[in-house]
Amino acid sequence: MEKIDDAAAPVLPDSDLMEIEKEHFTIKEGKVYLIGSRSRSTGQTSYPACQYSYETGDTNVVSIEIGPFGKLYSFTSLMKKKEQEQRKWFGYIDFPCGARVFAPLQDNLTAAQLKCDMDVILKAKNDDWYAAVELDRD
Amino acid sequence: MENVYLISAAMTPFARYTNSSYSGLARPVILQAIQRANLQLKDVEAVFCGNLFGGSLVGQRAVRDLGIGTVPIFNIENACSSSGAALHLAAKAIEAEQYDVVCVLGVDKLSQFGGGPIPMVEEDYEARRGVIMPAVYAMRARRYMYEYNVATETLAAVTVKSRRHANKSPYAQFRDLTSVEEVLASRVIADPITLYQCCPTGDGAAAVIVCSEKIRRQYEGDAVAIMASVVHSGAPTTGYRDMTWPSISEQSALSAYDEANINPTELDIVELHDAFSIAELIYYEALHLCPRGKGGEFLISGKSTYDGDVVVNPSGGLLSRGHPVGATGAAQAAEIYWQLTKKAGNRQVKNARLALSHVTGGGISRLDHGACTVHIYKAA
Repeated sequence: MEKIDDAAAPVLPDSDLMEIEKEHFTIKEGKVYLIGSRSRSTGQTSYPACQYSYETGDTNVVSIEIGPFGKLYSFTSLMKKKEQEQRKWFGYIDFPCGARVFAPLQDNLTAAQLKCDMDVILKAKNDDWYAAVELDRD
Repeated sequence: MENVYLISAAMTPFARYTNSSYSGLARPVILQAIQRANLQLKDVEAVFCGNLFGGSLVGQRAVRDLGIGTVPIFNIENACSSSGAALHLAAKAIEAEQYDVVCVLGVDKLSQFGGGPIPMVEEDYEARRGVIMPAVYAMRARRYMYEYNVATETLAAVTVKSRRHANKSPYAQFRDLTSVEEVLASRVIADPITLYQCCPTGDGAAAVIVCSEKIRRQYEGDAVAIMASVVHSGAPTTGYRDMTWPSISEQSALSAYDEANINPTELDIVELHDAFSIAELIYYEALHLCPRGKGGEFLISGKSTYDGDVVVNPSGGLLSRGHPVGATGAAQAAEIYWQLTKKAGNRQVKNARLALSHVTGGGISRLDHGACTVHIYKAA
């Protein structure tokens, strides 16, 4: 953030809630990419996009596309409500650009089908994205 | 740290107290802690209150009816580290000769949420995506098991040891003995973590009196010296982070060992933050009680229980004593006060002289943890 020369000038808040109200992704030629950020000053990559560069605090940040391929760092499943029969799987995906992203995984999985460091690919359904374990690099 | 002492402790058993308010939980332990220190209410010069879910002015609400209304009262929220941080600030204030007598209170009431995991901060991206604390620790567990070839039975053995210790404590929420088979057969919460591998939600309060050398000399009872008091916050990252290595805990412990000028092998007792079974294994390693990747072997070989290298969580820890979040740091200090003054009854660790408490608060993405507190104590 650039210094405001007028020492008495009002400082306005970030409208960061506007950014987190929806998932940011795009589909190009059938491939799903997350719209994240990269700091020009530190190289830090992030999804969701980060308005600031860690360590320097500057806002010299550009939009980047992350994906579609990544590796499953770790994973778990949750059944948030007792009445739900199907468990929902989540995991951390490590992308080659250096970003780690918390991701919903595809439905109908079992623990036996998942393994740390396995390849995953981003997919989209309706207004949301997820990570799938079956690879289709065509 | 020099010339800072604990001279009394009081605590409710951790349980579900649906008929007690925050004040109702806190008042009796404050009064008992003051009386056990042979002090009067008017002797308390400040109150440091740690809590997470109590709302506005918990400390003031707790002491209002006791007439301790005019001294400085500080309310500290640092998630699970809330009352650990309160103890840190109190100890620093005593060391700086700002006060001679302060009361440190930890209190929380999780039964207000009915049950299940604690609420997360809705502004946080991962929380809105569905993450809860059991899921975070489950992913740590999954990665740890993958990297170090650890079986689910080893995770379950943490709870078995925890219940065995808690079986001797009147303060523990869960005291019944259990088995590896029973732990693994309990309901899956966040694969591979089952229900019995999660700390319970409950209510409770704990208080300790922290004082200066001057007051300790006047006091005829037993005292415990605080040799180190450290708080670190986690380093942020949006990139790869090794979930099997809680660097914030290691850094806090190393700072504390340095401040106290001791080696971890000298410790007789450790109260560590076993919110979930996997946590105990990785914190053995982060606190340098055993080499990296050897947490499972350290547990299974009996080195972390009575007659081992160091007794870890003689109270039963968070898994069995319970974890009313903001109360835990003070509860650990209370347990260590009783242990080092030989007041711990049939869970007493023989010849205990040196102890460490570790409590670490998480709950937001991109940080290892929000705040980690480590204290080292010596029988005075």
